[in-house]
Amino acid sequence: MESDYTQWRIAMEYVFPLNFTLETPLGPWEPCIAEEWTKNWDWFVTEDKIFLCYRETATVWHRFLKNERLHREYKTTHLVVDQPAESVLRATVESGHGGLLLLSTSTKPTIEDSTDSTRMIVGSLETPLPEL
Amino acid sequence: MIGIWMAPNGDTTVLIEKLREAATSWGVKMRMGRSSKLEAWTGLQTNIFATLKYPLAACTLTESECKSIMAPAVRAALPKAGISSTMSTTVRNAPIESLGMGVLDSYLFMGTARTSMMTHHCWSNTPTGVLLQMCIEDLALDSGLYGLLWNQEFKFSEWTVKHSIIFHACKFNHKHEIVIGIKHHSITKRRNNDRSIIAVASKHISKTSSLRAINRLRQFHNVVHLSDIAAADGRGLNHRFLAETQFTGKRNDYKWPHGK
Repeated sequence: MESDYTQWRIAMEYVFPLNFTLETPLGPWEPCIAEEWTKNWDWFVTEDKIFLCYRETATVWHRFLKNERLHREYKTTHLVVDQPAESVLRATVESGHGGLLLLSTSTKPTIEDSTDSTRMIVGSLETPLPEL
Repeated sequence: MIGIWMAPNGDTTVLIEKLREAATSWGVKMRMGRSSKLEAWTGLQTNIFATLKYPLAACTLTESECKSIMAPAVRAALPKAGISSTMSTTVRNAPIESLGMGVLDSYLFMGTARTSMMTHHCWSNTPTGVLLQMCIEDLALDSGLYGLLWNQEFKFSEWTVKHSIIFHACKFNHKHEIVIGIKHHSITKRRNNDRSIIAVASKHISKTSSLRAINRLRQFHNVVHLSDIAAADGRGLNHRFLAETQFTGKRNDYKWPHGK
């Protein structure tokens, strides 16, 4: 595994060639459904940047309050809350200096309707759409 | 399984032994017997070939392994049927319609039967088809490339596992320019300029052992895209992915070998 880590690091130097940054940024996210936006990432920040949120499970989130005295830093103490009702942005976070440091945030994607186009509802029954 | 000896790690040693044993035993009986030319030829086509053909669609044998399995039966039966057993295999295995002898080429039969079986079961959505579909999607995830597996260059063979039946089907089809269109869930980009990690890495790194190491670690972290390992702003690497411990966050819903 040690050698695997070495090879991985070498690959990362090729993939992110400018001192671990990309020549062309990845740009905006592809449209996705709301559930997917929060399900497939771990750290989030509210749009007003007051709260940093860590998604433990779908219903258990850890909410960290901004440290007012320090730019981009959040306290390590947290409240266990439900999924935030407000809109959240994906974030990259690093711990250190006795707090959590917000390194970067992403823009929000276009949120698509979550209706499953492969299923239909007939009366009270939900079934897959017939295949041609 | 009936008539097939399979190992989860893809080891075919026992299977080859058993099939060769059947061919050898049949060959000995053919040599010892007093069969006519027609009986020898008919026996070859209807008896031992049928036995050896039966498990082939589910096998992942190489061309030389197939030849070694068939050899004892062919060497015994052809002289009895009045045909030289040292005849060129091109003529021997060519169909009768093409002026060949129509002797079974077990390697070609295995490859085509496998592809035909895959297409049939996936298209008909049989229980076997569902299992095959899972194998296809496993290999697609292992390859870490965007799009359908069948549209990829076979370059992914440098870093994926090699014992899956789907891998062997892809290898055979690539070699013989067979294109199939079985639909499966494919990996697609998450961001505008997103790319597959392994696709980018393989452009810069050609050593197979390095690519396999990178793919192992990619699967250890459960990631596919650059967007999975990049910081949220999509400009640079999330340095968490340089740490020598498994990434514990979540980037997708795929079922991974090192899944959390």
